Amino acid sequence: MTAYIIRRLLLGVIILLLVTLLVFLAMRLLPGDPLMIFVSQFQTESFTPEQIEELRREFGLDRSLPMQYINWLGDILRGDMGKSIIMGQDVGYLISTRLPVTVYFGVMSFVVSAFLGVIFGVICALRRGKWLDSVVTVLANIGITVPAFWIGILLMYLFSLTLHWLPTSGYVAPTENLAQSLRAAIMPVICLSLFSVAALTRQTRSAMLEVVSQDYIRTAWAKGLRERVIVLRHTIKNAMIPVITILGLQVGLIFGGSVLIETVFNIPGMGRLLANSLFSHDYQIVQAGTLVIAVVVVLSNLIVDISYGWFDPRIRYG
Amino acid sequence: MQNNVTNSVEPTAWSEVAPAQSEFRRVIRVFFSRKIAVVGLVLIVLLVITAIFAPWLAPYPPNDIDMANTLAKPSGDHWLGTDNLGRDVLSRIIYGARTSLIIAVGATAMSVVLGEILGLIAAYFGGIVFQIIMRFIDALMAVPMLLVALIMASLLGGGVKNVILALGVGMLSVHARMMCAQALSVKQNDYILAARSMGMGDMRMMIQEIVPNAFPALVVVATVGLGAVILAEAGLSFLGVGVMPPYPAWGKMISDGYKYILSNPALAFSPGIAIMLVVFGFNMMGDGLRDALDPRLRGVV
Repeated sequence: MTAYIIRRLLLGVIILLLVTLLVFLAMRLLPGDPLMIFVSQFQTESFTPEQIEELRREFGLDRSLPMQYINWLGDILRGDMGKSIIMGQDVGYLISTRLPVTVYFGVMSFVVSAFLGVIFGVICALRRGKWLDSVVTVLANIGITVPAFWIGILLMYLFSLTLHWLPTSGYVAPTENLAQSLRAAIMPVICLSLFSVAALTRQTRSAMLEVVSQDYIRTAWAKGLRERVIVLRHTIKNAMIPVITILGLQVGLIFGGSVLIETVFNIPGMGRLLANSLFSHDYQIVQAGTLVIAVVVVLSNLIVDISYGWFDPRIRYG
Repeated sequence: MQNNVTNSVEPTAWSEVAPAQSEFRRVIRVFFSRKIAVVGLVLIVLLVITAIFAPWLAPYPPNDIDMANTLAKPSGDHWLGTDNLGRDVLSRIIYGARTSLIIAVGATAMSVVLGEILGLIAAYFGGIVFQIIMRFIDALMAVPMLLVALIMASLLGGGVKNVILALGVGMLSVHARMMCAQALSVKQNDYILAARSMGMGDMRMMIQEIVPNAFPALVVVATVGLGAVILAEAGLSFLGVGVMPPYPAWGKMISDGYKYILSNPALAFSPGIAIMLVVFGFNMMGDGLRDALDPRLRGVV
């Protein structure tokens, strides 16, 4: 097991290295010169070609591409994410202030999705063919088709602008005022978790139905176990493997969704930082931010793979 | 077969199929026995018809600006009202169907072709080739698809062609991984060994033996992928890196309408409903195809 985890961590490092390479190449080879955007921000001042060259050297943009990559990677390994060209701030600092906000919403959405998705799926499977199953299944099928940002606008129109029940926008630090912070988080969390709840419901339902028809469940019934024990101990546990797989995918999806949802609800998180940095071609932030997200995704994949063994001890890690 | 149980189709639909019946007819029968799949098919047929016949269906040209009649409420003249430039919202939604369909088909075609080739080569040759290709695919998968597309689109600049490219790269990893898994399992079969012993070359083996046997899975994943592309395209347009104005795109219409939500909510709401219907159509069609073509994919797709 330890050997497996070490091997997976090494693999994770390789994948992350490739992520850095891909993002770096994308940011440098595709059109758009960040320095020109930086320069054009100052409409009142004009830069002489010498000054531009000076700036280019300052940001290390005069070196060859491989050297730039190696320098950047070396800095990252030393914990230095560089300086934002456009915002002029330390990228590590920017990310450290924005990431907790996204994680705050992300963790809530993830927990809500896992909890509701599994519960709904189990209920559907146990009530298969009944009206409750039909209603929830239809809702789940709709849930995986709605654009989350659109639902956000819809909710905001209804609950903030028309009924005035919830604040229109977004983020109050939980350390500042927990009640307010949670109130403001209701709509963003609904948007971020909607797709995941629906996808998990579908997956749990079909996995449960698959397990219910297995011989060992029939045996459990035959030996007179109570329904509660059969459902909780035998059915759900065995149905969890594909559900866990889908659950692991939600981490990336919630991060991806946060780009849109943070824009709708005006939340100062990673998603909005990345979107804004992309528009201003602030490549230092995009590179570092993408890497941070990839680290979270790779780690969550690893946790998913390890948890398989808990749900199904037949799975061996060789 | 256990899969019967998870199937909402009557079990007879495929356990009692006469053996003489052709595979094609069986697939058609199972597909059409699922009402929800037929609903999906109908929605997609409507989408295609709307996209093709947009100029005849739309009551107004989509980019006709009428400054005397901006932000009009829904009325007999303008069923969904007009936007901030006085353009007819319904007409723009109808033309938006074209944008969505072109991008969905373009990006899916690109990601399917490239992804399948990469996945196929990785699985077929194995070893170091497999390692290199699949580690790059893993790296692409470690970044959320929407972010990959957003990075590509904002660097390339908007426009239909660039959005197709961005979303094609974003979806690439899904198809590569799918094909790789399929090809690895097809490779285990005896008929592959038989074909090899008859001296079949690599190229022919891949095209004539592996691809056809992995085909059902590809069709299902591609169908569901079309829906995913439309959702992602809406997200890109919403953020302003999608299709360039004045070209009508549903995501952009939502973000434009959002600013005028208090004067005419239909501006932001109606394009979202169009997106939902289309994505629902592709998803349900995908589910139906999966049950008809290869129910073992349940859970995978």
